Amino acid sequence: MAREKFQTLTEQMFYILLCLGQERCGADVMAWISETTGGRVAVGPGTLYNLLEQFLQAGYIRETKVEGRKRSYVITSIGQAALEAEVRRLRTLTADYERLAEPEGGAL
Amino acid sequence: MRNTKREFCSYLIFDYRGVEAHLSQMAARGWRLEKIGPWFWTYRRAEPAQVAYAVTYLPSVSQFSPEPSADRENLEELCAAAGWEPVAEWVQMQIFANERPDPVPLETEESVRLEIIHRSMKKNFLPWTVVVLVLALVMAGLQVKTLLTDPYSLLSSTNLFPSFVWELLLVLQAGNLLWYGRWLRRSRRSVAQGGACADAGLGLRRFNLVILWLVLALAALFLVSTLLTTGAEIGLFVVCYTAGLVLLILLVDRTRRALKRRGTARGLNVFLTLLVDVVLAVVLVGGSTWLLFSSRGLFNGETYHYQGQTWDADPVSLPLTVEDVTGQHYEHVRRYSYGSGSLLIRERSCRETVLDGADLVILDYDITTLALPGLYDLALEHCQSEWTDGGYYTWTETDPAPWGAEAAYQLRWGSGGSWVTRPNYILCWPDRIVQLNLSDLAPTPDQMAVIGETLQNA
Repeated sequence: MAREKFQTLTEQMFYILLCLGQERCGADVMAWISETTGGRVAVGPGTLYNLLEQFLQAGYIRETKVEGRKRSYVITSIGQAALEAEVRRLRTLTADYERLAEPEGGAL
Repeated sequence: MRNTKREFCSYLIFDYRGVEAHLSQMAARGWRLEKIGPWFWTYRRAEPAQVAYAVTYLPSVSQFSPEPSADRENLEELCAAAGWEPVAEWVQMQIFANERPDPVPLETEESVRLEIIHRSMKKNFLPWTVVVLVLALVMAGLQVKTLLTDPYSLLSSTNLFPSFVWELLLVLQAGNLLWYGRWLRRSRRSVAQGGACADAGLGLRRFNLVILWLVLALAALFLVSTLLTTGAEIGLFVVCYTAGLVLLILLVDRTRRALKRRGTARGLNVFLTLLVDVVLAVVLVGGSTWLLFSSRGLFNGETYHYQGQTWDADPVSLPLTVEDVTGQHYEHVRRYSYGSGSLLIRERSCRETVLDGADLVILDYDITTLALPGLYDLALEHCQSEWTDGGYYTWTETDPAPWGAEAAYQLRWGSGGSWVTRPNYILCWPDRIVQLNLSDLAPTPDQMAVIGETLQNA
């Protein structure tokens, strides 16, 4: 069920999983994504809270420590596999574009 | 100058846009949301400012979840990092404010927002809406059945106006359900195309407000109707009872909140809140019933005993007494008067027993006053059927002139062609029907005129 739900990852899901390659707390996740993407992608705290909950339930991430109200997470092997599957999907899309798109008009 | 302000909340829980926009407008006018109560939202006065309000949902929490909830703390920690401060919570809805310029929105992925809203709706709003809808459907169905089979009992009921609350609830719940279903479909379509969740719209709020005003109008009609038909004492009782009910709801809500604050487990909170609810309801119903029946002046005046019977020391006043009919004064009397009905059909039952030497003389009558001429046939049929349903009695027309009435009927009893007249009469005017039992009084034409004139104008 959970795998089906995250069959394709949205940009925000993608960056959250990518960011959790290292142990980070929620606030660090938001800051990292904003910094890494140059502000192009912003994850709101409400969305982050719910996505972290959903990733936890799906086994994509695990909680590593709780310090007061601060919780830290890290990606699991299931989450890593999902992230890599998404990268392969994006590579396939890019490859298809490069193979099929006309060199000059940029359109098929 | 008041520093707090209360406002009735007509928003539904999925109308996050309406709530956000409204709270920002209030802040710009100098009112900041402080807390959310069972009926009203409380604002405190502040410097007018541009404040961004945002709403998110925690489907895992309920009204009974202990505070501080780990989920809420976790959410607040994340929100604090983005400058969002918690303001209030309303069931699963969590309200935050941010005074930073151009803050990161609380929700940045519409599919996630839609999912948590729908999960929150499935937890509270939808089950309760369906339960109340089914209940309202059953009650409204029973009411329609009564209207078709026994319209008089419905139209003359003191509860005529409150009973329409079921129809309003039916419309309200069905309307809200349909509205939510439409919003969900439109939001799913929009989100699937990369857009935002749909706007719940102003119409939904207006619809809820209209129903609320109609409920208040029914309550006012009920109070007026009670005052007019049953008298000031019962009207006062209804007001006090309603105040008790409001107090009960407030106390139950306070209990739930206090247990939440003390960190009581959800199950225990539900149990204790229900317990307080039941105990207070028993106290309210039991106490008010005791008050109603024991209070002197409502039903029980002072009495005394004479010749083995109970008599009134200070009899209630009646529109027509035996003394009015016979012209004689009686030392020992007991009287009963009871008003009921609705604004459409008002009923007053009166009964007087007097001691005339060693004999008892009884005068018994029911006055039915009609607000609409169209109710005449219905009321007359009801009046007659009270006697004729068994098959032994029949009403025959009699001369109304001596009574000053427009129509008059006398009761006859018997079978097989042998009929005996009874001292029971029905006197009719276009807006009034009086059923009269004269018992052993055999009225003279002059007495009939007195009876007719008095009861017509009573």
